[in-house]
Amino acid sequence: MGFDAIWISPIIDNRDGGYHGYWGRNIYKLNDNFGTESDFVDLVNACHGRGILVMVDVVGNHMGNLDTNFGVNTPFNDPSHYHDWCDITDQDFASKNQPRIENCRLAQLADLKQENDYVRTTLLSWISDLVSKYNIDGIRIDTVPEVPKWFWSQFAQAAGVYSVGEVFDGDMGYVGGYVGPLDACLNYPFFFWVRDTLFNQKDMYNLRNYYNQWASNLDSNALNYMANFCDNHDNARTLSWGGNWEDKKKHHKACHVMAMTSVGIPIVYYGAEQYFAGGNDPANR
Amino acid sequence: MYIYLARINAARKKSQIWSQPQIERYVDNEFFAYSRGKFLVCITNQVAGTVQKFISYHPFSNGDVICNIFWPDTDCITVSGGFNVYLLNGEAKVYVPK
Repeated sequence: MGFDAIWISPIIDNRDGGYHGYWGRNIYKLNDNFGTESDFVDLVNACHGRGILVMVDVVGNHMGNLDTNFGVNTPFNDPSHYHDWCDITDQDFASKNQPRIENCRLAQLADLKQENDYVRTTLLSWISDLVSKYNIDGIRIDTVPEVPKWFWSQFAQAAGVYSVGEVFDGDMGYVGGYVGPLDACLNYPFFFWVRDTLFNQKDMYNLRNYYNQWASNLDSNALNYMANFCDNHDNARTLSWGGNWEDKKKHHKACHVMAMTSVGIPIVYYGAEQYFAGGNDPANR
Repeated sequence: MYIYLARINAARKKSQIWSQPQIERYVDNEFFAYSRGKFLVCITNQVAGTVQKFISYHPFSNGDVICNIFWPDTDCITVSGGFNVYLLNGEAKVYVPK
């Protein structure tokens, strides 16, 4: 299809059932289900040999356990490495209550304490070593608002490659606030705004407004590095929405034309090219 | 869809659109168009019938022959001033010089 980069799931060892990679257990070990270190080296080399860059998904917010049995984790095996248990609520996200978003648990996952010097320096060394050891070209960073911006600035600098963060929010001011600490973010405003306009056949002046609002929130050069997408693994695929199948395919195509030609870096979720139509997680994966 | 995405990728690389600013060329309640250099994108939110728009503000020169990347052999226009774009049954088009 002519793509020249791939984004792959987190590669580290996960607790049982973490097929997706976001339930880390040992940050120094690769996920056996994905293969060996040698396999990964071969993959990166094979991609580079074909002019394809490799972007790896990484998590700096949490480990995979849903309890306080931190001894199962490597190297963050001590209670001092984690925030005290509280849970982020929907209201916290709605009100953008950053102290709670940054210090409480997302989906009950053990929340790393980046202000602990051991945790901070270990994560910085880890990402630096991971990038250099495997010759990785970019990182997609999970759960970005759940960690303070000052940490992401250090993390992105330690990685030394293109960094694009997940800020699961349609608010351009909020999302744009993480550009600077990181090179870019997944363009969730594009995702929400363009999808809604096309699939719900809303006024196309919405698209003019979309670009105008970005222009007032982010400089035009920064917008070049934002990652446009129409579907991803955290949301029901748009083709799973209600409505006439043939009509949805037309909107699906139009959305991808925009994602791939509009200002920004396009990301196409696997399966889009075959009209995959899975609903919410895990059907969308 | 596989071929569709491949055509877009090939066109965006050939035109190197990432080095070109995005300029709005036309908007109304059912149609939106923008350019990235000599690369014109036309989108509609409609799914049936014909959406026809006369594009007078565009990046091409008189005499340019421009073609839709999805039907490059049959959907071409010789630019002379403005030109009509027809989107049939919800299709999107991307025009580039032939």
